[in-house]
Amino acid sequence: MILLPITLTLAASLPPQAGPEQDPILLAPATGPSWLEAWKENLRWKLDVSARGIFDDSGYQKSLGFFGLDLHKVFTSGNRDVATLLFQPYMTRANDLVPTPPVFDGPDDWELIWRIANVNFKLQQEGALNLRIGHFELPYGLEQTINTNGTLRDYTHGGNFGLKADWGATVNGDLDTLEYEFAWSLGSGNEVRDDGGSGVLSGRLGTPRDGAEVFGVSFVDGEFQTPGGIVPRTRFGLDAQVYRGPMGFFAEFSTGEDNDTDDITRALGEVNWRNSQETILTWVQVVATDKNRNSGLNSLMGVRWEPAIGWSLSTQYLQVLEPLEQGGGHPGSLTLQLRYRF
Amino acid sequence: MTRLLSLILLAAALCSSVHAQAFCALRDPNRQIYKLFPKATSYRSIVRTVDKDARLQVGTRLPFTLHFNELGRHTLYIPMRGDEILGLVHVRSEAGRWGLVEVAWGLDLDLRVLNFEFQRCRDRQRKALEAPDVRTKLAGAGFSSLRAMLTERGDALAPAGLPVDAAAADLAVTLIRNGLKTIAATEAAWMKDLIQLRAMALANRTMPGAHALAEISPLHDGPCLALLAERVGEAGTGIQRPSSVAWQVLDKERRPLGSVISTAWKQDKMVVELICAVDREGKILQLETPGPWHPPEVQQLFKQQVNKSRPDFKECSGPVELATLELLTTLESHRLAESDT
Repeated sequence: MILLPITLTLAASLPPQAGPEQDPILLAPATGPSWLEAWKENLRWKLDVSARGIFDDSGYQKSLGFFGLDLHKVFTSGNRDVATLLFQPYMTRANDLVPTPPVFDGPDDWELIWRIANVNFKLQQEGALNLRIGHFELPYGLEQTINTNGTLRDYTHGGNFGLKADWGATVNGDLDTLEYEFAWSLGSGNEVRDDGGSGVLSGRLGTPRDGAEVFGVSFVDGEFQTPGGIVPRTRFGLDAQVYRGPMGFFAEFSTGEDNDTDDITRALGEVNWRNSQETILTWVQVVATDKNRNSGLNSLMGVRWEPAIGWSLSTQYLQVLEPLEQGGGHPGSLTLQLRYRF
Repeated sequence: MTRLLSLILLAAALCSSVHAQAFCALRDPNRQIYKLFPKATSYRSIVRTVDKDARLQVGTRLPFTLHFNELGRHTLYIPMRGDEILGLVHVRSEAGRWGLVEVAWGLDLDLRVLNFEFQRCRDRQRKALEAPDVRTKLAGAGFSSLRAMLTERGDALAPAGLPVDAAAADLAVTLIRNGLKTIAATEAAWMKDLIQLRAMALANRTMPGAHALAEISPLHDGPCLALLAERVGEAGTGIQRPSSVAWQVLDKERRPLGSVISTAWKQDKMVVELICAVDREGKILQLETPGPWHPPEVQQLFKQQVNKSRPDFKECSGPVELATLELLTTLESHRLAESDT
């Protein structure tokens, strides 16, 4: 599955064969386009490589390396766009990664991680109804409108659900004053796996993401497949983004249960600033969690700088002000990331 | 591993542009397209590369140009109503006072502004720029009219710029600069598409049932050149053959309805773009000079050739007639070849 789009994409970069340039969409070419010309049409792709080092205040170091493909293709038929493919497989290397996320087999491991890999079919031309099939981010909270894949800045998917993206299908669309996405997914995260859970329902309804004020409500209800077995989780969430001048003020509140017994409430607040060219972004976050009346409080400060085309340098400092669980890691850690897309 | 490394190196060598943002952030401007073209029933995308050459080209026309971050693969959207092309939508971003301003421009096929919609603008003066009198002033403006709204250096409003107060002047400049770059970049990176879209639009207007175009290639083949030599002589008529493109117009069942040819005609120092639709019998259905910039008397002379066919040119009386005869002969040679087969 992974090799086909990669092979097609590399082949699409080769110079076209001699002959008249044909546009296979509006026009009916005299000789018909080759499959390669058709694949190249409306195609974007980049390679994406990044290295991330994490240093905690005990001097322990761990690192992650990512190398992946970011591919975007619009399929057209006659005079209309019919579907969009987004395909992002990343080979990921973990070194001394303790604690180890369940996606890895151990602290030192290579893993193929799917960021996004789905096709979004247009069921209605005005964009009000689309069907997405594949691997997608759970439509929930701030993450739905602010893409944090591959960046240090992150929101609450990891803490709330233990995964960011999942395999399944969604209906989604843009209405006049609202946008929505509702999904059913396996609850297995990176792998297509069925351990017997009933799957996960999730969804978000919000105001258009390009406005100066953006508000959304979201929910998750389902059974997640974890290394420890099936975990039922429910969440109800509210999120808001308010932009004033160069500043952004974000908030997300979520509440629900894990295993039908653990009450969990989480609140995130963020203030960010960006320059007019949007090559520099800084953020400060505070994340408060309450689990069965035990509370935890984290603060994060980060900056991302894009000094040249394709390059991105980021750093983030995490300070655990109040640990949710005793022995849950060191109170402070610094993460550095260098990323290059080409 | 070696094979993987080779693939990576090959891919790196073949890449021509860069982007800082992951493609999962890309979203079609659905709302803006249907606001700009309320009669549209669908749209289609044409993705092309805005490269360093396009940047240079824009820089020759303006005192500012595209930032390197603006290069890469970009989408031109074509709003359609059935088979009818309604215009173009191109979204470009511009650094504003409070971050990037993204504007969706609705343009006609001659790249004149029909309307605009902010896709993203977090400036408080946004409403001032969305006022009806600003939209009225911008409607119909082509590159030259937009350029005249800015000072020579392009960093302030000209006295006859947009009707906004001083507080909104910065955003007005950002908007006009963005519009100028949009038009210039569209011409630089989508010119071949624009020529084909204009041909399709002309076919829609002149040949009921027109559904698609099939390029006639090679256009100036041996039999065509022989027939041209016989009819218009070896000296040429001013028609720029290397820049000529022609298509057969097809209906939904792929039956031919006629032909369209797009070319340029050079006379002394004047270059005139021409687009001509001809029916199956060889009669000129329309002969236009796209854009408002050609001398009206020349446009009029070409318009007078409409409804004529080749027998009407037995005795050519001037260079316009001779150029028209060349167009008809070029298309006729392929019609003859088609009937031979």
